[in-house]
Amino acid sequence: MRRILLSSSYLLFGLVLVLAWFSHGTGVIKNDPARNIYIPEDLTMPLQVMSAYNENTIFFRYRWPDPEPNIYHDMLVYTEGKWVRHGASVAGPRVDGIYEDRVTMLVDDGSVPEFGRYGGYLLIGDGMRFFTDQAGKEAVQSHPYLGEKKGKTDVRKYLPETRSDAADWRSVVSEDELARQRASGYFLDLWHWRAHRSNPIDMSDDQYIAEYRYGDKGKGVYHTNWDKTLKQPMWMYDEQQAGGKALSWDDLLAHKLSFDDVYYMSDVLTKPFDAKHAWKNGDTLPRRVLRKGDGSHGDISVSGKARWKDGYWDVTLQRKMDTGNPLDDKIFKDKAVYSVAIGVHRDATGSRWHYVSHPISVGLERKAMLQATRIESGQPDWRGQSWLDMTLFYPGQVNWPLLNSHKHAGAEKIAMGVPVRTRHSEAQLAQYGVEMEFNDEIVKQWWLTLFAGIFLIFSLGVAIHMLLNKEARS
Amino acid sequence: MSAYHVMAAHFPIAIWMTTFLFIVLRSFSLPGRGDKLQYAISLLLFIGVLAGLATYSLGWMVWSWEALTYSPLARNHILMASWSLAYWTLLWVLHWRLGEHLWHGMQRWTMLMLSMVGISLLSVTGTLGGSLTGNPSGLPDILASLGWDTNSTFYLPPVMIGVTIASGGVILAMAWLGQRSKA
Repeated sequence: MRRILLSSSYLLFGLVLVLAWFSHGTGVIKNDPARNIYIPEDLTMPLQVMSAYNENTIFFRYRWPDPEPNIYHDMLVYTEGKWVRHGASVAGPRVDGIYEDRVTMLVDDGSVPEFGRYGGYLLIGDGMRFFTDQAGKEAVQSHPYLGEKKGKTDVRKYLPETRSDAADWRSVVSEDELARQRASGYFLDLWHWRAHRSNPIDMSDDQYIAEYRYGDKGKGVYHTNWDKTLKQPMWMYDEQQAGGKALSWDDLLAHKLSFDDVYYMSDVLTKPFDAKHAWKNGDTLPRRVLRKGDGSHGDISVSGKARWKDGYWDVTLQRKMDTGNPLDDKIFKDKAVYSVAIGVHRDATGSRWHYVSHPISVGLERKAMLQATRIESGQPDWRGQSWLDMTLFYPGQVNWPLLNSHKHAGAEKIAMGVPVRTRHSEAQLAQYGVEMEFNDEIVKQWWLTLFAGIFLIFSLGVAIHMLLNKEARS
Repeated sequence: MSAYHVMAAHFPIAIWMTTFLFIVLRSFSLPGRGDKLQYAISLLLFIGVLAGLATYSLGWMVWSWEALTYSPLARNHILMASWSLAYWTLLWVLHWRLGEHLWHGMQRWTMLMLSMVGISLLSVTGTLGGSLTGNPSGLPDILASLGWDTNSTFYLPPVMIGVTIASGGVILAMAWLGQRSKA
C-alpha cells in the first residue's frame, strides 16, 4: 500500500512538471483594444538596406518581406446619406486592411549622441499616444505650449532634454530653450515614406523630432479632403482624369486596385466636390489628397518606382546631401558618419504597431555598419553592393523614463553610455516589450508559480519522508 | 553586490554537482559498498544548502527589488534559484532523516531520478545567471528548442496553478493515508 502511494506521489509530481512545461507562459497575454494592447503574431522581421551618394544626392534603398502590399489608406465611404471615415489608426491591424505600409528612418549627425546608442527608445517619453497610460486629449489641449500654442491633442515622440523632467510630458522647457536646442542640432531628422500618402506621386514625407514630431517647413505631400463645416469631402475625382467620380468600396475591400490603378487622390485627379451628385452607397473618396509638397517638407523623393513584388517591398529614397535646411534636416557630408534607425509598418497597422531597429552607423565612404558608396553622378547602379541585413522588432510599451529608472536593472549601464546592442538582442527586446504590456499580471502569476512550485516540492518531501520512514520502522 | 553573488554562486554549484556525481556512483554501487559515499552525500548536501542559502540571499541584494522583478530574465533566475534551493534542501532533509534507507532496492533509482531533476534546475539557474551578467551559454537555445524562450517569464496559467497546488495536496493526503495504513 505504502509503495503504491509513494509511486503515485512520484508519478503525480512528474505529471505536474510535464504539464507545467507545456502550459507555461499562457493564460495572461491577450489582445485588449480597450487598453491599447495588440500583440503582433511575428515579434521580429528582417530588413535589408544599402546606401550610395554622389556629390549632390544621397540614396537609401530598403527591402523587406510583406505578405501583401497595403496601399489604401483613410477612405470616406458614402453610407446612407453620410460620408463615413474608414481608416483611422486602431490598436493592431485594421480588419478591413485599409491602412498603408510605411518605412521610416531617423537620422542623426552626432548632435544627439544617445540616439546612436539607444535608437528610438530615446524618443518614447511619458504619456505617449496609444500607450495604455497615454495622456488624455483634454490634458494635452489645455497644455499652454503643446495644446494652446501648437494645437496638439496627443503626445508623440520627443527628445528627453526638451523636458525639464523627461518623465513628465508636461514639463516642456521654454521656447527660447527649444530654439537654442534646435539651432545646436538637438533634433532628429525623420524620413517617412508612406505607401498611400506619398508613394503614388513618388514622394516621401520629411519630418523631424524635437519636442514633438513635426513636418518640416513648407507644404506637406498631402492634405485632408474634409470640410468640417459641411461634413463632406472637399474634393472628388475629375472623371476626365480618373475615369470616374469615386472609387468602389467593394473594390477596395477585395484589394482589386493595384499600383497601375487609381486608388489614391492627387491634385491633378480632382475637382471640387459636388454635393448634388447622386452619390450611392459604397462610393468612396480618399480622405487624403496628394500634392508635390514644397520647401523643406518636400525634400525627399522616391528614386525610380517603389513597388511590392513577389512578397517584398523595394523602396529607394533620395534627398539632397545638403538641403539648405539645417534646422529641419541633418546635412550629409562626404566622409562623415551618421546614426540611423529604421522602422517598418506592415500588415495594415499604424501608430506604435511597427517594427523598429537598433541604431546603426552609416559611413559615407567611412568604416561603419552600413557603408554608403560614393558614385560619380546620377542614380546608383546597385549591382556589386551588398545589403546590410537587419532584424527589426516589435518594441511594445517601453519608454525612456522607465529605462532610466530604478525599475530597469540596466539604468546604470545607460548612465555609463553602454549601447543597448551590447546587452540586448532584438528578439529579447521584443519579448521584454510584450511582457511590459502585462507586467503586473505576469509578476502576480510568476509569484504564484514560484510558491506553487515550492509547495509541490515540500509536499513531495513530506510524502517521501513519511512513507519511507514508516516503512523503515516497520 | 553582483560580483559577490557571482563569486558565491560557484560554491553551491560546485558542491551540488559533486553531490550529483556521488549520487550517481551511490546508485550503481554494490550493496554494502556505499557507506562512505552515503556519508559524503549527506555532508555535501548540508554544506550545499548552506552555500545555496548564502548565495540566494546575496542575489536579492544585486539590484533593487523593483529592478529584480521587472526583468523577465531576472524573474526566471529567481524562480529557478528558489526551486533549486528548495529542491536541494528537500534532498538534504531526506538524506538526513532517512539515510541508508533511501538506497534500498528500487528506491536508489528513484533517488537518481530525483537528483537529475535537481541538477537540471541547478543548470538552468546557473545559465540564466550567466545570461544576466552578459555571458549566455548555449543552454537557452536548447531550452528554446524544447519550448521555453528564457527571455520570457516562466509562469503558469491560473488553472495550472490550481492543478499544482491540488496535486501537492493530494500528495500530502497520500502520505497521511500511507502513514495510517498497516500494510
